[in-house]
Amino acid sequence: MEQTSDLLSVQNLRVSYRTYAGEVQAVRGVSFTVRKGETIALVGESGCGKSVTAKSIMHLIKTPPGEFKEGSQILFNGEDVLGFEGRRLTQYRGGDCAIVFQDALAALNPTMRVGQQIVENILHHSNLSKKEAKAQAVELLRMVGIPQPERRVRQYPHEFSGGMRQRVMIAIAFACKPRLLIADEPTTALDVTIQAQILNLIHSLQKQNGSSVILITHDLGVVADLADRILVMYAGQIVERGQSEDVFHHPRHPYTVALLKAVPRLDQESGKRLYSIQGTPPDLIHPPEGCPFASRCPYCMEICTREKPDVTQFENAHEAQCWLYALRETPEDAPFARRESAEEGEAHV
Amino acid sequence: MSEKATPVLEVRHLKKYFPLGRRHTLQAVDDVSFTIYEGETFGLVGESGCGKTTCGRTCLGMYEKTGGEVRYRGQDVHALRGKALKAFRKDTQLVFQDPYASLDPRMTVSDIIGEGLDIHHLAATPQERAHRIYELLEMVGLNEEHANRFVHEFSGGQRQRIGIARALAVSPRFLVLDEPISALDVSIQAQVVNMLMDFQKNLKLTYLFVAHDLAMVKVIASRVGVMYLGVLMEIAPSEELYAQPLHPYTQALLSAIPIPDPSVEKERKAQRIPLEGEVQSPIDVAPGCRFASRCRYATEACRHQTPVLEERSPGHFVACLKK
Repeated sequence: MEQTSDLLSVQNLRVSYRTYAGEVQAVRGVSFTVRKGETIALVGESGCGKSVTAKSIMHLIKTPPGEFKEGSQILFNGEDVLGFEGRRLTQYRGGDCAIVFQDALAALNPTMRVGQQIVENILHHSNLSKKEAKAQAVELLRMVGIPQPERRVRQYPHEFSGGMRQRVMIAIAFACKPRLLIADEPTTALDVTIQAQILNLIHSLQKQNGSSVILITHDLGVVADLADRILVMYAGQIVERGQSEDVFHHPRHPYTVALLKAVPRLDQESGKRLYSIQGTPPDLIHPPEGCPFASRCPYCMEICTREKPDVTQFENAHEAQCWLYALRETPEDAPFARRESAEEGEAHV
Repeated sequence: MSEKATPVLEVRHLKKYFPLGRRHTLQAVDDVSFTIYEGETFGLVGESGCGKTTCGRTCLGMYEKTGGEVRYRGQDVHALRGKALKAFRKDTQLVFQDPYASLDPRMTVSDIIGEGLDIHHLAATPQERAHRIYELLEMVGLNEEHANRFVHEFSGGQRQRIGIARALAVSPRFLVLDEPISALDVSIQAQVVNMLMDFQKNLKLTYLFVAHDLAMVKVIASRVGVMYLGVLMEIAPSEELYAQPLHPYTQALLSAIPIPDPSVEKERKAQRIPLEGEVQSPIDVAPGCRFASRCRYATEACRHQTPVLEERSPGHFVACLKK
């Protein structure tokens, strides 16, 4: 990995929130890099810290109650994001780096016409006149596929459907041609047919602008054809990372394996029981000492509950944090990879 | 239909319109017919706003119908009054989509589950009532300790389990499951679906499973109906629907679902049937096929003539003018 092509580098990010119940350690030591033009998927269930990671990159964490722990570092093109202030921060947010949220209705201002909301962003980040900015807003709406953009710019968010609102959000995000787009569950609230449209739109805009994309989702299907690399998060940590094909075809961490098996697939037989992961994710006020997945893992060993596993490297920059590999001198397949074929019939139980 | 099984729910030309002021009507469900047989799971799928929830609720008599007929084990659901209505409500239950909004935050778990027992006088003594509640909690994977807690102390998955326990409390025979898993995480979804499938087998339940997730419906349902804008477009046995969808809408819908496998996905992407535009408004719908404006096979006839469900192969019904 050449240092020069890294657009974003997150090092040992640790974010905590102070609550009445205690300190919630939402993100516990996350490190990754995003290269120019690359699409990265951050996959995990609710509460695993993926949205907090996204907000940290945007410098949107409110402190307090949030808190960046010692040693957390986010570098955008070599610049320290967490140190940004004043003008540079405004320039960075929305200019260099933009975000699309899950709930477009909550993210848009209900009292402002959508055109105005796009213009606002353009005026903030360029020297265009109001008139030019308005014309550009119409162009942006046309670009994201909203029919009759001249009429639509004067409407309010409530006059748009869910899919159209998400298009408006994308128009705002791409208004200043960001180099990094963070899409935080952009299609979770949408129907499948609309979901396909929105994902295609993000993909083509990314190609046009040469932006990098961080796609955050809990739906593994969504990332299969879009992501170059996948990071699997669990309980505030990245448990597995690798090229998309490697993670889908040779998952190493038991959590990834379970997650892939738990998703019903259209090309599967009907009427069979689904593979389910017993239990629930750990409480992040008192995170477990060992591997966070230990309590739900079918391959849990004694050491898993005591100590945090080291990262094991596989070929092709594929990594997993699991004792199944860390204990061995040379990494080899985990027990489930071999047992799978023998117990094919039982795999769904 | 060739099956000899007894029909539990027969829906014939059901219509449910909501008046919007004097001039407009919202046609949420328009001329829908299907039959659910004893012991099966009938999946009702469609995009949001297509009327699947309204249809489920009208079947249980929660909404007055505008036209048509719903028969539950031979009785006209909307004509039931008094004792017969109460018996019907004990026999049929509903599990809601949102486990946050559908449980009263001021009631303890045991009161939520026990409410049905009290209404139908199913527990003679307080001990019996408590015993039944504990039994139900254990059935859904919770335990006695949870009985005196309030719902805000539970996670989404646990709340949905409480909702299911409440529905099962009165020993119903027919359940309408209105998107019971769409608010849950992937790993929790699988737990709840497996549990529902076990209950169906052990308690001999019949389900109407309303959902928008076609992959999940394939797992749980034996027959599936596809709805679009208040109209049933296709009904078929689950395996057949997924292998050979006949309606252009079903084909587009199935091709839009991503499969979690990069190599399969790349292949599928090329064959994906793009569905332009969005679902039109269900207010004052024009005559003709409702899918015509987005259909790639639409002809002039589709815009005037409303297609009706016809049987193309045994058990496989399609409402489309294209042969």
